[in-house]
Amino acid sequence: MTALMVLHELLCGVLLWSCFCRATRTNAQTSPPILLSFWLLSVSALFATFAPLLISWEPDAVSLLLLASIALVQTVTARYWQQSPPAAFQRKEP
Amino acid sequence: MAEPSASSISITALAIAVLGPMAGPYALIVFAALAGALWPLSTMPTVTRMQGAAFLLRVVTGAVVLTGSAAYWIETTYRVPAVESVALVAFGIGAMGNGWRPVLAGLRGALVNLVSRLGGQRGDQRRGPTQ
Repeated sequence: MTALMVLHELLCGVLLWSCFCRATRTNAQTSPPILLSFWLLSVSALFATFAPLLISWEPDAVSLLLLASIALVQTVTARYWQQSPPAAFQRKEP
Repeated sequence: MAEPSASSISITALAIAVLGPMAGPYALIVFAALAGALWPLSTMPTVTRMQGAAFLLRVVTGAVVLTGSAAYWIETTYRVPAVESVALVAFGIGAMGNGWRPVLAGLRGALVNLVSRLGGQRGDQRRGPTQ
């Protein structure tokens, strides 16, 4: 197991945790495109976590850079998701 | 010069060494069940992290227990190899989320109905024909 692989799994863990935290904040009133986007991000992070085991995939520097960037975006924007999704992401009441 | 990857152990080999030859199928079940369960988690009313984690644990445990039997049943009934249906079955179980409660309640109701009906028939037989 290489250092790249360990780093990949750690970054996937950060991304999965951020996705999980947001999934606990969203609800049926959240805009469907937002729900779908974060669900796809969660599934992608899950697949990235399991890919070395399921399809013997090995990470490289490019994939790590992308993963780190997405994890950073999620971490930096987490402050706007403290209690609920940002108001702009919620469906407007009729 | 040896190749850089020659001395490294792949994560697949490591997982199989630690968890046995079923590591792959079970990893697939866990992955598919989690992927399915994340959707109901996203749409349910806001929950705490502990409640969310408990929900995911419950759904994934259910999927790990039920998927093997369900895939075997699909294989014997519809001739679809269990290896190919495992991921779909686990995803479906995960996506049902808390939707299992009405299904289980319906099954319990049907069972209670059946038992009470059978009990009623036996009672009629004991009483014999009425005039």
